[in-house]
Amino acid sequence: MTLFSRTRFGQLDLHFARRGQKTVLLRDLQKAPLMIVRPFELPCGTLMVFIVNPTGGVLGGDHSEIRVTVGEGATVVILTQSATRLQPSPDGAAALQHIFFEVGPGARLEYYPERTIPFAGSRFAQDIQVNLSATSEFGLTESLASGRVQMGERLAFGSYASRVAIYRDGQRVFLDAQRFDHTATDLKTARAAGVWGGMDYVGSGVWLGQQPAAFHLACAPLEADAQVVWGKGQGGALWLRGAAQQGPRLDERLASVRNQIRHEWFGAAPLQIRR
Amino acid sequence: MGTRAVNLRLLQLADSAFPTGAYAFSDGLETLTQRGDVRTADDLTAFLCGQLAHGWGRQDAPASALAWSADSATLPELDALLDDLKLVEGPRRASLRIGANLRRAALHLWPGDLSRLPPTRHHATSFGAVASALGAEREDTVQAYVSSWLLGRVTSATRLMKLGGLDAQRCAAQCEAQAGRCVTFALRATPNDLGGFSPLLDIAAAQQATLEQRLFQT
Repeated sequence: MTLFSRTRFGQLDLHFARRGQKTVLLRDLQKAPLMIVRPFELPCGTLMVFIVNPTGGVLGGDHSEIRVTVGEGATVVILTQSATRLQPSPDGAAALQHIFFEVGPGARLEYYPERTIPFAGSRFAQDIQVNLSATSEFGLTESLASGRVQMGERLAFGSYASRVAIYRDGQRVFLDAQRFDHTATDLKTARAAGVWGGMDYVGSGVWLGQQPAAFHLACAPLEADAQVVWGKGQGGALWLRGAAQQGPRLDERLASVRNQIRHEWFGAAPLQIRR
Repeated sequence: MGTRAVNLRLLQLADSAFPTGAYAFSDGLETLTQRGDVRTADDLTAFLCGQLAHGWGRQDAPASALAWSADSATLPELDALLDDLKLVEGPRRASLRIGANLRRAALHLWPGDLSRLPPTRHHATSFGAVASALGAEREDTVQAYVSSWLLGRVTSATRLMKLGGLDAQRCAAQCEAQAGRCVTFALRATPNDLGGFSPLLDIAAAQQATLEQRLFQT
């Protein structure tokens, strides 16, 4: 990094704990451009926190680090206030984001960020590591747009990588390594059936928890313009894949799955998010 | 001009007639053809190139290259990596079954050379480890593995689509440049590079079990 480098190192360190019947934010360290707005409690007792990036988005070369510790018995939902806009850097550097979640016994953490929108020429690599105890619960959904779709900019970004590794008592129970490197392929290959096809929005998710024996996830039927499927991974996690032509259609499907799992696994009410 | 002996054992290992049972699985291609997403020879070529560039070629091809040079302590880690990365149960189980069949057939044919073959489970790791034990070069091994996958898929396509054998082979031939890039990537990859991006194939593979009529196993 040079003296005149305009890239930034954002940092967020949050520590939640259970106090009586409530989850509280015990400590927080915020370094711009990563910030949080004041946490508030949902009716179910879960603490909800919004991560905010007040700048124009993530620039190539930026580095963000988010560390969240959820102590025993605490329950937390982390959301982002708006979509993450990935902007390119003149030197082609990738933006990097490292996220570490530590979830204690009987605790739950759900992380449902808004969509990631990669602008033309942008590159992004994200690494999410989750450490759970035997009785922790965890949920995550992510979604990615093919670009600034409303402006007609599709699949013009350079690369996108998101690696999610979840460990329970030190044993890896889930790994999803999504890497799309568009720098060496043409649009036809990127648009091939099996990759992006005719879709402009893709989503993924994973949940780990005490799954009820009779659990059956009911989703809307697959349609040509919106599809969501799920299954059980080798380590017992429930994974999800989704794709849609329109962003709101994918959001609806993801929200439906999230709310079913919150209800049946976590005994929690549907998330009503007002931004 | 120097010549290099062709490793006939590698060719045999990679041949579609080698009894691995790979012909019984489509890993989602059947769903894509039934839904009309892969309808023409051009669609098939794009699908194959897409998988070489973003899907299978980013996971199984490098896994075979890594297995070729892995020791007996590293191979189980590679298999565990594939267990996790193959989210969809159908392709995960297919990979395990083909891997077991390949080992069984290879051990039957070359018991002496493979007497110290370390344990492997998935197709990619078994192919790489067996080829290495049979004396195949690393690059040849990956090329043979990629070729085997490519030709296996176009053969499947002739059963799924209105596509003649020659047209199917033309689709494979049109993927030559992408297959070359896939091999180059595989030879340089580390375990951390394994991954890929084929959400619509994951969806199709997960749907395979729900198809009313199926030619391939789920």
